[in-house]
Order: sequence, then structure tokens, then C-alpha cells
Amino acid sequence: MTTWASSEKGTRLTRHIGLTRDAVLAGLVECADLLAGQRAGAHADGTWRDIAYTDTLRVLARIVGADRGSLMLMEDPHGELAIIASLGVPEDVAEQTRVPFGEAISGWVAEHGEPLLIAPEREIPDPVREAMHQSSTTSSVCAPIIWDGSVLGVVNMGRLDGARPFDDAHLQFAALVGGLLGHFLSLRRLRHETNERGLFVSQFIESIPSSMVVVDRRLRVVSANRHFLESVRLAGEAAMGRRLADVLPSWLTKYAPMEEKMREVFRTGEAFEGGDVLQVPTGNVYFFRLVPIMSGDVVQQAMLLVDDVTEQHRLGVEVRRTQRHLAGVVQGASDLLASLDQEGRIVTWNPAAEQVSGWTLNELRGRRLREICAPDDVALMNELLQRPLAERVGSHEVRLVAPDGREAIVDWSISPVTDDNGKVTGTVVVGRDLTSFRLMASQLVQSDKMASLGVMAGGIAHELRTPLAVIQVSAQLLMENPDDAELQATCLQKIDSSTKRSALIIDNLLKFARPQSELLSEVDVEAVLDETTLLLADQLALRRVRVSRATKRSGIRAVGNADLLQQVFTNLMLNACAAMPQGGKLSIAVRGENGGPVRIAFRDTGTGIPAADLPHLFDPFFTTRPPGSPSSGLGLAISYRIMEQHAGTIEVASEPKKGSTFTVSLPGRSGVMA
Amino acid sequence: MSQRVLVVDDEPDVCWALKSALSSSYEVVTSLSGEEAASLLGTGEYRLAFVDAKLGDMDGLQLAQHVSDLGLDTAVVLVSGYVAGDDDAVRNALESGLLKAFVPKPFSLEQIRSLAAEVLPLRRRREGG
Repeated sequence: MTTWASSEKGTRLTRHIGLTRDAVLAGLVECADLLAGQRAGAHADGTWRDIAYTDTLRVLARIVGADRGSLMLMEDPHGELAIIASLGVPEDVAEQTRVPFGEAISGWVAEHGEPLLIAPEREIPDPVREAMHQSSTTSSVCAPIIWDGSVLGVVNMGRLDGARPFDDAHLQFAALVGGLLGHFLSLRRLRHETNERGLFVSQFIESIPSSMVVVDRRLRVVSANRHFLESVRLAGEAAMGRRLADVLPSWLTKYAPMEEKMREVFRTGEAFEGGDVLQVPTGNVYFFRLVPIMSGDVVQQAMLLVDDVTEQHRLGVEVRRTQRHLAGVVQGASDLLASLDQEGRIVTWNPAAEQVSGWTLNELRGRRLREICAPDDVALMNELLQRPLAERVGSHEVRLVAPDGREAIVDWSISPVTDDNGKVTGTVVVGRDLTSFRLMASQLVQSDKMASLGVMAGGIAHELRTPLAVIQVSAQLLMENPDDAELQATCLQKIDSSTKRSALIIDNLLKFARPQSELLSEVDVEAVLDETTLLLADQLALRRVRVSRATKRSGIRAVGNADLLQQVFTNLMLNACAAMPQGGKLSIAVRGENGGPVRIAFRDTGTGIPAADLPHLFDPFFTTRPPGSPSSGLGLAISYRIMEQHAGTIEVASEPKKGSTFTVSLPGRSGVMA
Repeated sequence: MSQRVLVVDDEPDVCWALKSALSSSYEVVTSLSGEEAASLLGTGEYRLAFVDAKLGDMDGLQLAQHVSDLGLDTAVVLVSGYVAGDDDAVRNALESGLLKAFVPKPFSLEQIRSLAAEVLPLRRRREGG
């Protein structure tokens, strides 16, 4: 023992005076009892200062005859050593003492994992000697608390001035106690960790919504969570140790041979996904799984997990139904419905879109909408797709060109699709096919014309019967009087003029009835009025409506379509008749210059129009005439539309009981051509 | 009483046709307006009047009513290309005796002449002429 640090293992303790073999063994047994016993309890502050440590320290001090002692632990490997139990050390000192790993006596022992004896006859470095002197320590032993090669802390013993220094026997005994403490501490830490983990696992098992039961290899229940126990109406103890098949509900065992499946899990070590099971009495749907719990390579236990998936099932069914419903809406819509991705490429394209555009989804998928737009409309389509919704005003009409060159006029409405975070993920495009709408509008014009024809039919009958009467009488007179040259001449002249008159009536009738061309050309407004008045002459006479035309200024020409204008005039004149059931005066005045704007005013002396009706006057199917009367309610609506086509207007001013004035304005030549 | 017939129609050609049909047997006077016809009838010189259903200023039935109101012994025949014989007003007028007859346009010489003969027996003034 020439060095100041000595750890001579293998020294026989019994060789040393004052420390008998029996005393050592009794001390060790006492320490082990203390540490293993139930007396260990945490202090209120929750630190590791357990009574067992202090007691163990006391036994150690008693046996080695120490005046003071301490037990120091490291919270972390290579961390600082702190006192967790002490004897003969002031409490505040014990509280504050921290020894870094590798420093001072305790730090050296912690670092090297070897016990150390410091005694006056040994070589002691000056700083240590100084420290010992200050604390009036004659000698000390310090042993590592060690387990499985790692140092958890140290145990220190000291003798004060005047006492006999420690020797190797004391050092050996302290080292044994250190080992004992190491064993105990590691056990304790392990138990603590296990407890913590066990608590976590049991909390986890209780908190999962699944029903869970664990069985051992003999298929006996070893654990089950509350959900499971509640669902099978068993108390925890009643389930433990019973066969799995005995605790499972019958609807589940009927569905699958659970024990057989479980044995398979034990044999293969693979989980079994059981699938969905319908619980017949409740209509609930459950999903079950068998999961192996491995220990090394062996399946020690296996777990049955049962989840109530009724809600998921219901939602799934609902989602599928909603999807089918939406798909049906999209597929069956008469409007064009398309969706575009973020880059503007076509993703979906419904049957209406295929039908109107002439392009199928297969041909368009991944392409851009502008590729099938009429060249003149590409810019507008791009703009529609780029501008935010709120800013879009004006025409959204963009023509699509089919593969065969056919064009479709489509009115578009475009909205962005956003995700839950408001990010634009695509675009939904809805288009209304105006091609058929336009066609329908022109059909409406035609049907209105037929309605007008119906009203006029009576008048036209009379109109034709009159010349027919003259012709018949003339012909009979001719046959009767073959020799009366004068009468013959008169008769022939009457036949001639009446035939011409009939022909003219038929001409006008045909002209009115045939579908009009929509071409605008120069029109003699007065001539159109003349023709219309002639067509309606009888109707006007029948209603005792006298037509007064302001002095004719022949040759006032406007740009328009004679057929369509005639229809407007007919509607206005028939309306005037209807407004004057007792007869009256219809004044028609044409004002304007050749080539400039032309205004035609129809003023009647009829019942007038109530102010409340004025805003609806041009609405389709708005009529004030009694049901059953020959009024389609379309006349003014169609007149309005026709004037729109002429870039003109139709206005009304009315005073109840005095009459109404409808004024039709046609723009000048420049107005239309512009 | 003279064999005078009044023809009332706002169409001059129809007046001509009726006059031509009857002038061989009767003295025919024509009028283009209801107003004028009313004053002519008021003289009581006409045993028969052919009246158009729709005149410019009144309708034929009104004129017939006028005749009845005056207590005149004038048979009124309504002529029309517009009103049908089964029109309620016309049928009522026929039943009440307001009208002697109804003649739809177009008509034949025979129809007019036989109707006239019913009211005014022929003197065969121009027989063989």
C-alpha cells in the first residue's frame, strides 16, 4: 500500500482487528434488509432521500466506526454528485454540496469506479489534506455505488480528529455496501420505470375506444379493458383466467371461430384483420382484429380488438349516396358543367357539355378550355378565367367550336374552388347553351305571330268574303246579261279589282305568317304601316277604331326588318283595339329624317294602363285581358325583343281613362351600322 | 207603297253588287253609312233593307233596332262576311223578328232576289225586257 489510493480487492476482511466476519455479515444482511424492506419511503419533497438510505448509512457508520458519512448520487451518468442522505453533516451543507464528476475524492471514485482509502499514513495530495484538515477529518473511505459496470454514486465515511484512521477492511466493507446499494438502486430505478410504463400502458389501454382483451397461449384472459368488460357485462375479476370463447358475445363467435383464429395468430405471429361484423340485434357494425404480443421471437400473448364502426359505416354509405346524387346532378344537368385543375386543364366534362360542344371528355381531358373556343373569343375566355368572380361584369358569352366546325353560343359563369384553407385548388365552370335559347326565342316570336293571326282570322275572313261576294255577283250578272255590253264591262272591272284585292290580302297574310329573315335592310316605315293597317282594317272597323295617320311624308326610311317591324306594329295596333272596347281613335305619327333616328308613336284613346302594371308590361305572359281572350301575353315582350334586335327601343306613357302612347324608336343608319 | 229597297254597306262594291242584283225588279237606293241609312229609313219609304253587319259608324243590328224603335214596317236583312248565322245576337234578332233574314257573304243573285221576293211580290216590270 504505497499509493494514497488503494483498492486492494480480495483482502480478507477477517484479518483486520475490530471488524469480524460475523460483524461484516450481520451488517450486510442488515443493510440488505433495510434496502429490500418496506421502510423505504419518499420524503415530502419527492427527492431520493429515503429513510432506508439514512438507515443504511447508519449501519455502515456503526460497523466501520465512522463519525460522519454521506450517500451521493448522480442524476445523470458523468453528472454532478449530490448528497441524498447524510450523517453528521449540517443539513444546509448536505443540501448545497455538488461535486463534479472527476473532481475531489467523490468525483475521483465516481470516475474510476474504485473505492478509495485516505489515511494519515498514506500519501495524500495537499488540497485533499487541506480539505480534511478544515473539516477536522482524520481519515475517510469512499466507495462507488456501482451496478453492472456503471457508477450510480458514491458512499463516503469519515473519522474525526483523534480517532483511529480507517484501514483496508473498512474500505472493503464500504465497497460491499456500495455494491449492495448499486444493486438496490438499479432495481429501484427499474421498478420505477416499469411502474411508469405500466401506468402509461394501462391508461392507454383504458383510453382507447376499442374493446380490448388479452389472452395467453392457453387462450385464457389475462387482461381486458373497461370497454371490453362493459360490452360483455363482466367485472374485471370475473373475466380473468376464463377461456376467450366463454367471455365473447355469441354474435362475434358465430361470425368467426375466434379461438381457432387466435391459435393461428399464436402459431404464425401475424395479426389477423377480421373485417366488419354486423351485430344483428342492434344493427351496429363492428370491426375486429387479432394482434400478437411478441416477447422476443415468441408470441406470449395475443390481443383481440373490437371497434364500433357503425358511424363510419353510416357516413361511408352517406358519402357514397351523396357522391352518386351529385354525380347524377352533374350527369343529368342541362347546363354545361366542367371542372378545371389549378393549371386550368379540364378534369371533368359532363354529358351536356359533350353534347353542346361536340367534344367528349376523353378528347378534352388535360386540355384547356380556350383550345375549343372560337378564335375571336379566346381572349375573353382567358379573361373570364383569370378575373376574380366579383369583378366579372358584362358579357360572358363565349362561342365553342365543335370538331365539325359547328358553333355553340354559351353563357359562362365561373367560380373558383377552394380548400378548407381558402387556397384555390381549381375552377368550376358552368355554361348555359344559348344556341337553343336563341332558337326558342325565335320560335316564341313565331308563336306570337300565330296568336295574332288567330285574332286577325275573323277580320281576314270578312276581308276576303267581301271581294268574293262582288266576284260571285258579277259573274252571275255576266251570265244573265250576255248582251249588255256596259254591264259586262262593269262586271269584268269589278271581278278584276276584287280579285286583285283578294290577292293582296292573301299576299299580306302570307308575308305576315312566314318565318321572317332576321336581316336588317332599308325599310320604308310608312309602307310597313300602310300594309299593317290594311291587314288589320277589318279588325279595326269591327272594334270601331278609327286610325288617324299624321300627314304622310313618304319615303322615311329606317334600317330594320320589315317583317319584324310589321309584327311590332300589329301587336301595338291590336293592343290599342283591346284598350278601346267601345271604339276610339288610334293616332299614328311617324317622325324622323331619312337615315336618322325614326320614332313611330301609337296613341290610343283607351282605358289606359294602371301605374302598377307599367313595370310588367313587357314581361312575357303578362296580360290584363280576361282568360280565354285571344291574348298570348307575349305580344309586348316579343315587340320589346324585336326592338332590341333593331338596337331600338319601345316605350310607353299612359294615363288611366285617357289612353296610352307606345313609342317605337329606330336608330338611324349610323346607329345600327356602328 | 213603292217597291223601294235600301242597301247599306260601307263597301261601295258590295252596294253595287246588291243593287245590280235587285235593280231589275226594284228601285234600289244605296247608302255607305249607318247614320245616313237611319235617316233614309226614317222617311218610311222602304219596305226592305239589306244591311251590312259592320258599318263604319254602327253595326247592322243597331240599325235594325232603330227601325223597330221607329215602328217602321221595314224588313231588315243582315248581310255579313264576319258574323255567322249561329251568332247568339243574330239568332235572337231573327227569333224576335228584328231581322227578316241573315245572308252570309259571299252570296248569289238568287239568294238576294228570292229574299227580296218574299217581302216584295214582283210586278215583273221588266219581264221579257
